[in-house]
Amino acid sequence: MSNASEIYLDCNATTPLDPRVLEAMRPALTTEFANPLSTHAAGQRAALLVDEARADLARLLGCADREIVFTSGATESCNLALKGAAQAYAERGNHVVTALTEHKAVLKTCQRLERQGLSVTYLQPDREGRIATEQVREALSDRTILVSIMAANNETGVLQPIEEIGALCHRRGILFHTDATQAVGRIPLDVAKAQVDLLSLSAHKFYGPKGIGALYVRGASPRVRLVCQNDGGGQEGGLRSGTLSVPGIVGLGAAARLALDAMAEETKRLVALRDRLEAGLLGGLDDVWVNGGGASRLPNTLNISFGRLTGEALLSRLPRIAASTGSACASTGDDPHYVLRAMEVGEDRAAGAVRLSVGRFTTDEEVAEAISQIVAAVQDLRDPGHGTRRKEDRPQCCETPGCCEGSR
Amino acid sequence: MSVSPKRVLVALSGGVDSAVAAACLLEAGYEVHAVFLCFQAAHDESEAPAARSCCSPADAQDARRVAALLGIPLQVLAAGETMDTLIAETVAEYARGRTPNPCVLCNARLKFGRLLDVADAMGAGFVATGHYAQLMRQGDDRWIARARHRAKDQSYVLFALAPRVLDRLLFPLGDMADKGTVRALARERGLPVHNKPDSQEICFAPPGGMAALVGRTAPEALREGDIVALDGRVLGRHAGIGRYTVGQRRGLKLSAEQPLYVVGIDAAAATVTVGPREALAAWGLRASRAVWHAVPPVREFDATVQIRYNHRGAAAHVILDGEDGFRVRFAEPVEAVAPGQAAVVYLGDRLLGGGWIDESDTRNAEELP
Repeated sequence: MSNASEIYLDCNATTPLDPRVLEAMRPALTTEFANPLSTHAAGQRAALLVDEARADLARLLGCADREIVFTSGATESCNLALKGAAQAYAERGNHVVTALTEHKAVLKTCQRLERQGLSVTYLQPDREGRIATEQVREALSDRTILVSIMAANNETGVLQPIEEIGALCHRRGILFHTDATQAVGRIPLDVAKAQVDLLSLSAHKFYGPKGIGALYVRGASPRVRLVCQNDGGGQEGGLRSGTLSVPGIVGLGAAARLALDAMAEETKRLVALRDRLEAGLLGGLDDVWVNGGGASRLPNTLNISFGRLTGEALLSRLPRIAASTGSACASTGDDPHYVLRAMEVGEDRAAGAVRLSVGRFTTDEEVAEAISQIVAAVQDLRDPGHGTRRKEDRPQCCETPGCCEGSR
Repeated sequence: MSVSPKRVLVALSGGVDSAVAAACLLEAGYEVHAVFLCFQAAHDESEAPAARSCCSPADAQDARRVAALLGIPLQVLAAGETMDTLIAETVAEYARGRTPNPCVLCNARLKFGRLLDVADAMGAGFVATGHYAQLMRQGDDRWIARARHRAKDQSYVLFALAPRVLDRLLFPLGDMADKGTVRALARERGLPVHNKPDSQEICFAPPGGMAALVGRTAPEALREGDIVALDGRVLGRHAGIGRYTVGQRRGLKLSAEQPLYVVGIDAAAATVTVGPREALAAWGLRASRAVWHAVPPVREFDATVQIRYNHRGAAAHVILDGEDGFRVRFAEPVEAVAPGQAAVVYLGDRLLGGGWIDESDTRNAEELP
């Protein structure tokens, strides 16, 4: 998938385009270029491509076609969900409940809502990164209009009790939004079963193209209202104006179809790969902790802290491994370790954390290779010269083989 | 562009009938072009129940799928303002205490006119729909006849088409044995709509029903008033004349020894008159704004007159009256003749023409002029 010598272990940041998705997108990128709202035959052909993709995504989520709004990605979806609901239900209340471990798309939006006069409760997770339904229940008031809890955390992979929270919110008549960006296409999701009212996703997390995502908006029991945040031509039922990106949408639909077909098998394979990676690192090193290891996690994610070093330093020693120290989206200023800090893992663990996330195209060989490279790099960082001294580390006095061995 | 008799424009609705009609035309060797008619009502920003557009996105999707499967080009045809006029007239009829039939009006004023405009522009000699009706051609004579499948016959809704358009019409389903045949044909051809249920209501009726729409622009039609008996006694209250039609029994909320039916509606007095079933019997009616596909050669003649979409038609004597009116005297009393509905005149199976019912005549046959 990536360059031959690179091992890509950053699937939570983004995934490569599945070749089958690229093939599916080809007509939309070439001959079927018309605007799907055009009334002419070419436009109607493009509209049909959009229809089919919408149906594919609806199948993956367990919802109706007309409950899907295409957006430029999960960030936009989260913005539309939170701002749109806050504005639409302003008469009902002005309180939102979310968690400290949410993606910046949710946190920053909530902070903006606070500046606009809403009050927001940011729940703190436990040491394993879990939010308890009880915490949500205690935070609810009669002014609460919305709860936003992600389905799976992008940094740790920790899964939140979406179904329980959905049931709670439904009983209380409060809207429930879940940022499911890391979960969609990776673990089974059913919006009806989970009693979710709003759900955000991005295609590029499950082998689809970047720049396209969707927001699920419940259409019945209740019929969720949102104030549109992108005014214009009235596309997507007036909820999100802008000419539809047919190639993106087709890619999203194809990715959804493939994910639904592959999920069961792929989950098994990814869990095995991730567990091998985890076991290999835990076994080969001391002073390592798995963050969120005590919680249910995504099948593919390993957030692991190495004592006595920083994640950045480690990754800089691994130029051929693509991984991250935290959320890719957190590297633009702000605290890059806010999720782990919220989990109160301690400064050392937060600083020494690295996120490894495997995917559809990760091979066993890559995992084996990664284990050995990481172990070597960690040992090297902790103890420079451990094992083989490199030539440049030797004292300049002599070149006699064996001269300096055994001495430090 | 030269007009080709081999080229036909078919209106796809997203339903199974128009889909099979298109398939039949293809098999008959026509060059088929499809159009999805989408008449939008004015977009309303408010929360109040606005009229829906005649087409739903799901129907548009189905039409696209059918067109793609048949390999025919599909364009969407919209017509904004004209639908508003139709909706306004429909609401006004309810406010007058009449029972409108907007579908008949739409066919006459909107649908076929627009289809022909597009057909002319693309040089298509014919337009076709999935209506259950037959277009008969004999020499220079053209007429609409009832469909072979009597129970589904839809010729009634076509009475007000201008006579000059008859020559351009094709109805591929007219001689189908029954709906089952049509669905089977759809299944055979792999048309995804073969088991789609038939749509039953007025296309622009909002989810809450027509009452909500009527209330928006003609609130007086939803104002409460008295329900009165034939002798004038007040029996109860009604919830707005716009909610009732002649012949209706449900929704009256009256307790009486015998079932009571709406016999008449007086918009000026805002009253609904009820009576026993016998009082529904009409021996005649008066109609106006007649459209004749073939001008009747004599002033009065025997015919079959149908007074509602799902009325089988009744033997009657028709008398032309004035420039565009006619009176009808039924051989046997007909129940629930509702002002506002269409009275369509048939000679055998041949649709001769029709008009709009202004009043029913409950006098005895002998008393009728």
